[in-house]
Amino acid sequence: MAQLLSPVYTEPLKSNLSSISSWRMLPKTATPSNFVTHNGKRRGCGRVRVASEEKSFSTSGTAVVDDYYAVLGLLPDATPGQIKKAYYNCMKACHPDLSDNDPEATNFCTFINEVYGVLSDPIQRMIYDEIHGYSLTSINPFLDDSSPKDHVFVDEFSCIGCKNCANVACDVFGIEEEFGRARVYSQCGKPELVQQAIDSCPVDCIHWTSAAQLSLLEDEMRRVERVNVALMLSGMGSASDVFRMASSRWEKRQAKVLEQARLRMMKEKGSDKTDMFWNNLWGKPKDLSSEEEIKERAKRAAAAARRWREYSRRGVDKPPTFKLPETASSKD
Amino acid sequence: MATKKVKAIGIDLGTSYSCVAVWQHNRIEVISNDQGNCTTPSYVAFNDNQRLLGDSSMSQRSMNPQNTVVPDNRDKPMVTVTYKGEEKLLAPEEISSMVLFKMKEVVEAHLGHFVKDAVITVPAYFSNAQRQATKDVGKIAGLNVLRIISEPTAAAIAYGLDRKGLRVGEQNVLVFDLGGGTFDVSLVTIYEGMFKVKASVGDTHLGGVDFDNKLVNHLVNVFREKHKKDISGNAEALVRLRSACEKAKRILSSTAQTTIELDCLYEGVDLYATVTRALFEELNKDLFMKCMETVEKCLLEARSDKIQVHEIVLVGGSTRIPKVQQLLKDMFSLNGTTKELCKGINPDEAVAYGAAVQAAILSGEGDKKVEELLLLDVMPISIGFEGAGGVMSVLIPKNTAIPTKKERVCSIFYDNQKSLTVKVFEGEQVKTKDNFFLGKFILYRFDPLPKGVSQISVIFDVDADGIVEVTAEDQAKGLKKKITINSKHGRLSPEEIRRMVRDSKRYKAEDEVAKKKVKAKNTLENYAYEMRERAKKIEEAVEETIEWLECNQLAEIEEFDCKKQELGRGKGHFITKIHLPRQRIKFF
Repeated sequence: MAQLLSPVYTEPLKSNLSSISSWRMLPKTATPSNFVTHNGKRRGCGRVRVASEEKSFSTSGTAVVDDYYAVLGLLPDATPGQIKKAYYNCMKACHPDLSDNDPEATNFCTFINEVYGVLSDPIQRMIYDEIHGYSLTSINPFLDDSSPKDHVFVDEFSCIGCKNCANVACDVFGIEEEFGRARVYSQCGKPELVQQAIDSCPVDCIHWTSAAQLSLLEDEMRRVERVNVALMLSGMGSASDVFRMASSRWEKRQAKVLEQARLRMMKEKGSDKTDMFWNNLWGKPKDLSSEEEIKERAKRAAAAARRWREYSRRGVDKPPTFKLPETASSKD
Repeated sequence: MATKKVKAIGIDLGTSYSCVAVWQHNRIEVISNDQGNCTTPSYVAFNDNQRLLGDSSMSQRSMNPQNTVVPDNRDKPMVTVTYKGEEKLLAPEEISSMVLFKMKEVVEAHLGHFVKDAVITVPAYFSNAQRQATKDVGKIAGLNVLRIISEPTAAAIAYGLDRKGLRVGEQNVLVFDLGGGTFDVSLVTIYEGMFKVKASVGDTHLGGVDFDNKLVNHLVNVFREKHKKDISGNAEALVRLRSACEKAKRILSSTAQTTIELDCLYEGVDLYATVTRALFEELNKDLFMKCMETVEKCLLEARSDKIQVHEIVLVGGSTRIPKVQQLLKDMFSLNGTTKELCKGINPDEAVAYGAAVQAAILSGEGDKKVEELLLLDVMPISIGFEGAGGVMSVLIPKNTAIPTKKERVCSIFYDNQKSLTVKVFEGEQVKTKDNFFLGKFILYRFDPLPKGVSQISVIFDVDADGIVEVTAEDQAKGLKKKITINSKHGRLSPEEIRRMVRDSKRYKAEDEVAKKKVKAKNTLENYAYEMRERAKKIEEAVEETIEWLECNQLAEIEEFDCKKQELGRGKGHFITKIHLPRQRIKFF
């Protein structure tokens, strides 16, 4: 039986490499020195953290798929037609019907269907772009005070696994199995209990966030390596500021988008091209949907980011190696 | 993967006719039955002696209307027939399994070996429960059902394979499936060998049978007005009339006028009527417009415009009706350009053809051409669970691409609730009581907590086969409970399926006995005719000997002995030799 790697597998890596190299050419953006959060207890960052952040990013960036576009082997400015074509190619590569009902293929196929469900819906894609910095007009969610901070997030780089929050609000917080830290498993608990858990946390590792912020934070947690609590307390492993990292990544993405849009605008002076996806973004009205629906979709995006983190932990978002069915010549 | 290649067949299980196809000689072949027809009537008949399947059941229908049944997947639950003098109660699944059994026999007779694996088609509007019921039907008939696919999807596959070379980029194919008893319209996207159903809309009460009924009702009225007699209560007369109307409908597809003549239809009175195509179209005008409304609904659901439809594929015998084709053509002829319908595919065979393609893919058979095809399926109907106040909480909406996985968090409804029942439903209605119940399970041993505090995650996981697995999990307590909907909660219980499998085997055994009886009877009849022929020859020889004896009273002893031996051997030609020497002796 011949074993073949999916041809799609190399494309995301190539995209990542090219995007990373181009990111290094970008001028460095001054990062905000502090984040405004609900409890206002965050401390400032020293120079050592900035250095470790950059190091961490460059090493993890080569192995982790950056976003939904990269999963399909695309760049964020892909047209709907390109997205559809990439989706079909992924399906042809990983559908369980063609891989003898391999459970690994089924899981990956489920993941691809979710990704395509977001990118093929114009409204959902717009919200995804705004949350992740692929929109020319959106605001960094960490600097946006207009969204309600009704989601909760545990900073696992500060958490010491004391289990206090899991006792106070057991329906929201749980202790994850790998490193013994707290993690949010449900966003639907009683806010009073959550607040009580935050107030009684000895290391202030629990934070109220907006849905968009949570999407970015979960996305960031998908990338970084952690060590167990004991090793962390003894000084090993890198202490990372996940809020700063997520915000910095967002700024880099939008800066890249702005730069590309600027280049394309100069190139297209005198040209009548109108098929590029981003050309219409300036004039796109923001209120296509009601306020309620936008909130609901942002919440859905946060839940999807959480699921991708779980997928990633189980290796589901890696394209499986699969076996093509044998070319059979009929003997009748 | 096993090295042995098992043949998998595709079966179009239709309401009126069924069809079977298989991958053979590097292509899909539609298999003819023992009467040489590519479609076999989906009828089962019972009489005092035996059960009849296929064409033989159809041919005796008018003489035995009460005991000739058809799988009706619409409203009728159980059917009573008289079989060998006994009344039998049959479920629709049992009748369908007999039709599948016949199709299995047809293909096995052609291939010369047993088949086991099959892909079976169902109408697009079939719910998950109905698809599971069809899988049960296959099991009862002795088949391993690899996949249940929608009829329009199968038709689009047939079209896609047939016209692959002409395809450039993405194609939107409207599949117009108007069969004997069901009507489906689907929009299928074909893109580089992949098929995705964008929308499916169906009408469970529309088909060729309904067109026939319009004509039947019309003629019943004509008969009443003309002869003051009402034949609507006479089953035998109605069957004859319906059969004649169906025949007339077919004739009217190619001619403008025909006549229906039925001698001694009712109480000695004949029926003679001229039927024109215009009359037929007028009688069915409302039904034809209903078809077009369904097309509009399908396009709306797919969020597509008529201009985006590249091809229109016709499936089902009733698409041969000229008015239907004309209305479709007119609907899609925009800006002065005339839209032509795809007629390269035989409407009766397209569905079985596509099912056989899918069977070849799933069984690992077929060549490169087939392997390039991929069916991307969607949920045929919304699925969810019961929320507060009996509201349907949809987790997986209709037309969601599968495989898929969805999760929802729900809370308990009252203080100190200790258990939670998760009830799974499918359907498009707001209230669960108006939808179809699929199954349920109960999560126990909650800690006492105020309502709205404890949170349960409900996860719906649907694989590529459409199997739904539902998990409920209380993360805090580590409680987890799950059920797989489709493998346990079809309409038939496992005990019922086992009973039906036993019944199916008994019917088969009784069919074998009936066949042997017929064979023995035929053997005896042939033997009797042969014996009569032999007796005739012996009698002739005896007469010849007696005649010789009368003329040769004074013959010698040797001659008498020789004659006796000759008679014993039954060889009459020896007489001539005897005569010649005697003549010489006399002369001397």
